[in-house]
Amino acid sequence: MTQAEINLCSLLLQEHFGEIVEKIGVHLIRTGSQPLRAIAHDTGTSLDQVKKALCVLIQHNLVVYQVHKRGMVEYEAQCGRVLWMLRYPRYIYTAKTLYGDTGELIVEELLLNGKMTMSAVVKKVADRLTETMEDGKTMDYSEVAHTFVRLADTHFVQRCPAAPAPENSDPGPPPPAPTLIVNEKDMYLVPKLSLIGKGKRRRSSDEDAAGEPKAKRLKHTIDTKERTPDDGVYWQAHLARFHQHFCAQAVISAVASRMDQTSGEIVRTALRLSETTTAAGAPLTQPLASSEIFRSLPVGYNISKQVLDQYLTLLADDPLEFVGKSGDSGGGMYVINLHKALSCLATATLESVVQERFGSRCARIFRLVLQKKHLEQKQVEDFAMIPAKEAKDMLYKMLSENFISLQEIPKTPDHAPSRTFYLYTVNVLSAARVLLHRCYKVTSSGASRPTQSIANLIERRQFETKENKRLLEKSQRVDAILASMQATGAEEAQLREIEEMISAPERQQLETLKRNVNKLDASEIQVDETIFLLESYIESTMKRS
Amino acid sequence: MAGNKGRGRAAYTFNIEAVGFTRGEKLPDVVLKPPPLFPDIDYKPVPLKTGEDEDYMLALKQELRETMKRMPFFIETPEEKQGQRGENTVGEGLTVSDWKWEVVLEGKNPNLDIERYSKRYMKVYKEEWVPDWRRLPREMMPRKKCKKDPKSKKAKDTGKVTSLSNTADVLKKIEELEKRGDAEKSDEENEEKEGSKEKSKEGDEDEEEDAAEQEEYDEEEQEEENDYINSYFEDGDDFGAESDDNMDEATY
Repeated sequence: MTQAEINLCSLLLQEHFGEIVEKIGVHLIRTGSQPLRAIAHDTGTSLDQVKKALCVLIQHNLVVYQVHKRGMVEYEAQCGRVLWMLRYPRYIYTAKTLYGDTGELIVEELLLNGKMTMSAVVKKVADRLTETMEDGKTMDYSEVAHTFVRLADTHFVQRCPAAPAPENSDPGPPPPAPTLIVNEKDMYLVPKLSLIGKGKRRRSSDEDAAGEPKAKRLKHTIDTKERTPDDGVYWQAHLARFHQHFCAQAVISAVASRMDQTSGEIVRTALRLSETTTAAGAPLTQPLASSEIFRSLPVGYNISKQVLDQYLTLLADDPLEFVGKSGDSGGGMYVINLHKALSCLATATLESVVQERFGSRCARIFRLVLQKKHLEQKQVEDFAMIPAKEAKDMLYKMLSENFISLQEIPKTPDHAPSRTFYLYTVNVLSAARVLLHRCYKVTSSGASRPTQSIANLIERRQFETKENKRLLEKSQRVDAILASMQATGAEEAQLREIEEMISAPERQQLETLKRNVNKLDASEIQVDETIFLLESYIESTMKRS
Repeated sequence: MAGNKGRGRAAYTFNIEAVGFTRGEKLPDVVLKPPPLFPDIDYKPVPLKTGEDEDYMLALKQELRETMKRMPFFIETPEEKQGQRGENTVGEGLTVSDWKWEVVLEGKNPNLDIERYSKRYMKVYKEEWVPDWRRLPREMMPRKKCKKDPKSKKAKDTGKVTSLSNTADVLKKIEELEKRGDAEKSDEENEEKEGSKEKSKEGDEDEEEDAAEQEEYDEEEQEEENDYINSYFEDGDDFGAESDDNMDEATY
């Protein structure tokens, strides 16, 4: 993990869980797998605080444990998972667009609590929805459960690995830690519960093994009066599936903006059909017959088969190679090349970054080198039709920022510099890594606004908030007083008097603060989109090689 | 040889023209210090995207931030308990009873601000959260301390200490530095033994003891550092005599 990523993890953990959890989490990320004692010793925190922090982290799937020989349990942090915390608003919003408010709240509860049982989720979401509904109406559990089942069917939520059922036969001392079993088949299997209404007794027809805890080991301190039938079956949000969805979205919008809306829809249909058949990181989808696509087009699009075929041919012939033709049976078998699409998108991101940072002439040179693969200094000047001095300057600027690299080709075995070719080239993978790193890091040596580092953004936001803490608190207090006075029925004059406690310049300051914080937050969200794209591209490339 | 050509003059080992500089041209300055922290940029950045989606996500993000702070998973740093020793529930930071994570939040962080009388009345109580112990390693469970029998514990304690010469000294010293009561002391050593690599028959004994101890629960508060002896409040009659003895014991 790079220093920049560790820094970002630290900021995220601190915002979400507080300083103690942050200290433990960062320590684990830095040092890898460690047992409990070593953590307590190295971080200087008391044992019980370390335990609490680890419980929180394990609950949120940020830390996993492993039992080693001789009974030692070691804890390891998942840095990549911590970084995904940045994307929580995006996950929740996606669930909203796909499954409405219910879906949104389900995913939000799962993300906030790490893992939950289905009955707990359903209850909480139903309560929250009821609060927002008009008086007298309540949200039925069955509706929420129905949405939950849909989420599970499309793999957006999955079961957590299960603790072993404790009706065990071994009489020896219990293991120091339960080994959690991942059951592939049952990962999306929803336990059959029929949750009825609110407050009534819940009946269940079938249930999965929850088992009684071992009487010898545990003493129950559980507050709930009844044990839910699906106790022990925990669900979590399946973030990799969301990522797959984001990738698909990116590809569809790219196709739609390059060609037209209809071709975007065609690609969307094709992707939807291959959602569950394609493995998570596969570079190509499974081949789809054009007749299949025709059958599954959304109802609004009544284009004829020939038109569809024409579109598909156009897409397949496109130099970007998003769609490829893999055979002729069934009217033409087409595959969507996800890896190629991702690398095109990543390259486009790089080009756009170069353009925004260095200007369009630099961007021209960049695209030229990208296209021609390797170019000498002289050739760059000739092809780009830019005067030598400027071309040289721009090339060096890009070289110093690591967007372009030099390739040496020696003419003689002694690599004498006077007899070596120096060629400029763009290595997309390494340039993408550089850009990603810049997105993460704190002190950028040459801060560029378009790819402002997220850590910088977060720190600046925190700084702004801290600077104006006194003012913020004052305004909060005034709001609270106003609200309570309004509730007890106060006169206009009194209310105005209270409002005047905050003077006009202070109000101005508050406005500015609010605007700044909003801007910083929005920037964070949008930088995260770039981060996602670059990460997916790098991951997809690494998987192929 | 070829190297003596530019005697006294700067001669590069490579063809300078290949890199783009003409001969005799003034080369750019050498950079002597790191680039400025807030450098000037030539091109202004593109404005942010705006739209319904972005606005909604922005609102979501800010809401989530607030919600996270109120969840039981957000652990506040425990402040110095000045003048609030011995109290279980009222106070800043973490106080736990019965292993329920009932966190008592202050209106603001007192460390950075002056103490206010009103803060006592601005407490926010969070929901409790009890982790599912079946899914966690055993060592995560809080150790239940035995309040009842400090003397018998002491006897066992000394026995165990002598027999354990192999235990990691460093860990022991850490425990010793924290001033705790005896009951906890022996517990710590038991814990230590459980996690340690030297497993002998004692390992089994310890586990049994542990199981027995877990049945008796102790106040979490006693684990925190304080100068008061734990048995202070227990033996009301022999208060004076007891405390001295315990003082000695505690300085192990």
